[in-house]
Amino acid sequence: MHTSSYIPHSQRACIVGIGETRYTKRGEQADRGEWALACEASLHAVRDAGLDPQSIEGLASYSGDTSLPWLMQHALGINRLRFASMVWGGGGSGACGSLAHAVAAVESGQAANVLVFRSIVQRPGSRYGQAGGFSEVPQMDLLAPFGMLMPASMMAPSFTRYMHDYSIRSEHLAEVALAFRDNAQSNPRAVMHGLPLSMDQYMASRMIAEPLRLYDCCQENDGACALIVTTTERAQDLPGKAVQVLAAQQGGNAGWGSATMGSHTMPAADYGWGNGEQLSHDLYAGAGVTPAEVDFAQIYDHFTPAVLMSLENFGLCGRGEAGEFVAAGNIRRGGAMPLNTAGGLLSEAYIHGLNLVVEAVRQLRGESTSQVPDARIGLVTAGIGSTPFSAAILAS
Amino acid sequence: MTMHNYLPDLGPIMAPQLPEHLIFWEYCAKRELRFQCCIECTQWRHPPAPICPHCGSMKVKWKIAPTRAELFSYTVVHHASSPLLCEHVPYNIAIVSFPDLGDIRIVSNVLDIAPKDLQIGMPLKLVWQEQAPERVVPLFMSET
Repeated sequence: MHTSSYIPHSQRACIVGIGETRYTKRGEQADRGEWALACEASLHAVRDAGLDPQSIEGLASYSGDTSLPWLMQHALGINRLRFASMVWGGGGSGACGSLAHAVAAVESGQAANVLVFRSIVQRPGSRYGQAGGFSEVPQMDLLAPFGMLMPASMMAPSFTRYMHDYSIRSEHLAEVALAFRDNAQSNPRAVMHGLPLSMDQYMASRMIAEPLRLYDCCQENDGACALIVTTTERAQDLPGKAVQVLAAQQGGNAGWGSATMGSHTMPAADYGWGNGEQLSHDLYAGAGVTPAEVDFAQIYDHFTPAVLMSLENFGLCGRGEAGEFVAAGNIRRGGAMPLNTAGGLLSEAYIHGLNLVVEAVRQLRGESTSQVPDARIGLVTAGIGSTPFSAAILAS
Repeated sequence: MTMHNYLPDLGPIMAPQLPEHLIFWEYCAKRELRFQCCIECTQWRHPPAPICPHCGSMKVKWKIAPTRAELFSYTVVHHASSPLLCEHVPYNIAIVSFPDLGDIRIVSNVLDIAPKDLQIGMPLKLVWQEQAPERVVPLFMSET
């Protein structure tokens, strides 16, 4: 492995702490609120790193997290707040973007230790299947009159086109849902732990927006998680095993400026495939690794077809091959490319994808409940289809 | 043409927020589907934007969309995301392209068609419905 970075190894960023709250169904932690959950996850991450909350110098989050920097400074007693970053965009497009900002802050010396966090308490008025939660999307007037009011229906036409162009079948989507649900059965933290899913149940589940059935869509949850990013040099003084950030990057293809939350004017060649080609290229080049070296991946699974698209966009299988790739069992535990080993957003929890980064760290520490033997390099992706979205490559 | 509106008035969520969009809807109120076209480089663009992404010019005219349209992709929505939609599901959402305009597309609905008859690439023709006061929406029907 080599890296194309000019930054000396000692100053390269790594993840030294992870923390989570309980993950629950939507509404079950509403009495506590997002700030309390953010603080709890952050404290767990800080303690996991062997640090003190006062040592945090930077904060990074995304998707309009409501735990504002001054609230976090107030609660955690941060003395030297030198960096605070909010990544634009809704949903989980910025899950690895906030990590990328933390890496930039640490590697440029703007802050010694940066806390990356995301906290969600799903409000009754902003359910993902409910019109109104997206009233601030600036091009909404071009969608709403035609009944395009929720993420599932905004993204569904690109999935229709993908399935049409590449002969993807419902059974391929089902395999993603079933594989991730199976991983959740060994993860006691997963909201869907103890609730296995069969093909019959999948096929019988109600249609949301064709081709998406209920079990093709991620959950609605309450919970928070957090990471601590610092330099490799500082990590040497800490008790735990540091996980290197080989690359963390925002990106997205040209022509996606009015995509699924606009007039769907993406280039025809990408429309039913995804906008990850540029990001993937930059990411692997930045990390100095190839897709063949990736041991596992945590793929943003807001919707099952997005997982298939991401497999292709990030080079884990060829273009148009994801259906056959998953049908052959490759994404299961013990397969060639195990995915979403904690259950993913579909079956662990939908913490807008930051929990996928947390699981990647666990894998590289050897602590996953569905551990991949000898896991050395892991890919994490955020929500494909957004502009920009983001991804990261981590290594043990 | 159908007697009833395909989808109901959903209220404030449909209101334009960007000033660039107001002109688009003003033309729709006159039952004219028009897109921005750069005066300098003659390239079309949509959704409306303050400058031309091809040449940077701010000079624009609004040209009538070509009549040739087709179904680029679609979904059939079964989940009513608003109580107002309960009696309307399942309904289709169409991504309509204009083969003469490259990647310019609009989100719309196809009237008078069963979900199973929606076919990618099918030719469509433009029709209008007054969905709400001062809100006339461009919809489509099968051309064949």
